[in-house]
Amino acid sequence: MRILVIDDEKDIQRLFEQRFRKERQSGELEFRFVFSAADALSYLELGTDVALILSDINMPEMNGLELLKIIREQYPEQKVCMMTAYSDDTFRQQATMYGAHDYLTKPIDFEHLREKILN
Amino acid sequence: MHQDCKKLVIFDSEKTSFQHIKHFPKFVSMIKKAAIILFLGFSLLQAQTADMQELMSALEISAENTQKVDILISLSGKLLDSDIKKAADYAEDGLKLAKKLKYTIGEAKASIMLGKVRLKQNQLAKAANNFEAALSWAEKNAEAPVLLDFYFHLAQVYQRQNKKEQTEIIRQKYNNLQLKIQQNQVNQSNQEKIDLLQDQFSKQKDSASLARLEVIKAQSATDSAWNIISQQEAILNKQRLELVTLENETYRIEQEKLQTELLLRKEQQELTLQQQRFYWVLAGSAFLLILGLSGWFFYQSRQARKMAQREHLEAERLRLLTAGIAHEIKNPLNFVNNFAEGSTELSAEAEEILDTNEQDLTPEQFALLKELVTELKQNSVDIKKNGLRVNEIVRSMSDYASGRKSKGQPTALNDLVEEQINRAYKSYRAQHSGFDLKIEKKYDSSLTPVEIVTQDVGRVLLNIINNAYDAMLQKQQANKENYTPTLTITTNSQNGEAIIRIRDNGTGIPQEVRDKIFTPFFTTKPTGTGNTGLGLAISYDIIVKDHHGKLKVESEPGEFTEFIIILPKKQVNH
Repeated sequence: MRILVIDDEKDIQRLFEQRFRKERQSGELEFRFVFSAADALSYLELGTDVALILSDINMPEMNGLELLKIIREQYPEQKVCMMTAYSDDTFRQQATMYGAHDYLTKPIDFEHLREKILN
Repeated sequence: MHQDCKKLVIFDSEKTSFQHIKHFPKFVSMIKKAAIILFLGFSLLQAQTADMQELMSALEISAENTQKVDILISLSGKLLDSDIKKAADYAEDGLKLAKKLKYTIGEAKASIMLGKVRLKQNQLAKAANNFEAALSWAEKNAEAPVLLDFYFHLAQVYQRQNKKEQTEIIRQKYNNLQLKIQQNQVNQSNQEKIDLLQDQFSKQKDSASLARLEVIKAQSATDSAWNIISQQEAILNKQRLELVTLENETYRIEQEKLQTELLLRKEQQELTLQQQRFYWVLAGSAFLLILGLSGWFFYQSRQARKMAQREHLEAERLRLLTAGIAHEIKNPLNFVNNFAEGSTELSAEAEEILDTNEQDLTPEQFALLKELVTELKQNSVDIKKNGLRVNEIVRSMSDYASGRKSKGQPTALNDLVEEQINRAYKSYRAQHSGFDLKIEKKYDSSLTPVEIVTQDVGRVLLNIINNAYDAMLQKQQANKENYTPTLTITTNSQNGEAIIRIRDNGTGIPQEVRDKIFTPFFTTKPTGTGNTGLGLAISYDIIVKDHHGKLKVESEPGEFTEFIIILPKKQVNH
């Protein structure tokens, strides 16, 4: 199962790789990381099959919600989960409205995330 | 307008009154003429009605009454010169009837008449008897001319009887009476009336009236008719004068009345004016008062609006600031917490590998590595723990600043309480596996839904219940034997308010602490437990400020703490 993670903070890659070390080693999960919305769209254009997209909201240039809108138009079936440090209800509501499947707040509860991905 | 009308009426009445005075002499002479004609006419009529035939027929139809007596006397008088016998019969009949009827005047008149008849018949003794019978009545009651005539006849009787003394007495009486009549006529009554007329007439310089006056003057002594006319005129004049006086008096009274009325009206007007002035002043004052009050209210509401705007602006600024800070903290915190947790996992793995490879290492090497790995593991655990603390603080902070903007909705309080108890219990049991407690629930099933911001009140309940758990756990950990932590939840409705009581038998709250528990950032809990001291401050804001309710606390240190949430059933305005 391939997961695309989008965040402008590059440390996110090391964090995910470390926290999902076992799942990666077993081949259960495969992670791809991009650090901007534009890169995410380029990646998706390659046509690589992605089971889930995990995207940050607050990013320079195009933000997560704008990206979500485009993905929803171009890839209606694509599952997207937003993850953000904003606990504000407005972002959660907006995200749900643009068609996000889930909404996670940072600090990310990896136990919770793991459960969600695997089930 | 009204006043003008009144003036007009006054002038009108004045004019009428003057008219009366001006035309008075003319009017009097007219009346005088009419009176003369009337008098002569009346005399003529009297003569006509005294006609024999009429009297005879009147006698025939007349019953035995005083009128018949009068008729008989009159008939006797009429026949005195023509038929003395009949005259005697009538007079005798009249006297008899008068006596029978006890008609004193009639008796006297009849006696006089009969006396005259006897005199004519020369029956002098009888005549004297008749006359003497009527003497006292005639002298007392008879009119002067009648008495004079009576004396005249009586004197004749006495003279013929040769009663010189009595004759002389009666003659004297006759002369006196005649003199008296003349004096009366000339000096008193007539002169008085004439003077009055003269005065009136001379004033008007009415020559006709003056001539008439001369005639009256000349004739007054001898002509009784004129005297009577004068008397009539005088009476009429007097009446006229009286009338004029009366009119003048009436006019005067009317004027006085009008004056009084005018005065009264003026007073009333003044009073009305005063009243009006008073009302104006009152109205003015009321207007000013209203103006002032509305101005004050307007100012107040503007101030309130300004204040509310300012408060709203400040709240919004605070919310944005905290949201920004929270976001900026949470991002790095995400790494801190998760890398720490990763480190914990990694060090645990490293420890595992170390343990399995213990035999390849010297005991010293193994001990050292074991110690380092354990320390690293512990460090990362501590980092994670403190990271969670930071996270909790940031969450509370943004919750406090977010302003709880949600709208109220009808909520079944019993269900909400039940939900929060279970939630708190589950999470508490997860953290403190050894902790067990008894929960007593006393729900008022008749409690109708209350309009509240469910999420917020839920948070308050959760916060208070968690505090209760903490207090009971603390008491249990202090090795209290035979202690059963008991949480008692009661709901009920009273005076349009919903009341929720959350009671624990934990450590209780000392008085000095009780006053500060709703103050932001005040906490008694040890640092490192993720407590921010905002829980009850937020709870207080939610219940009191947002829901206009009450949040009270009752406690006995070492015994119990009871939080009482009172919510009005209808409210919520954000």
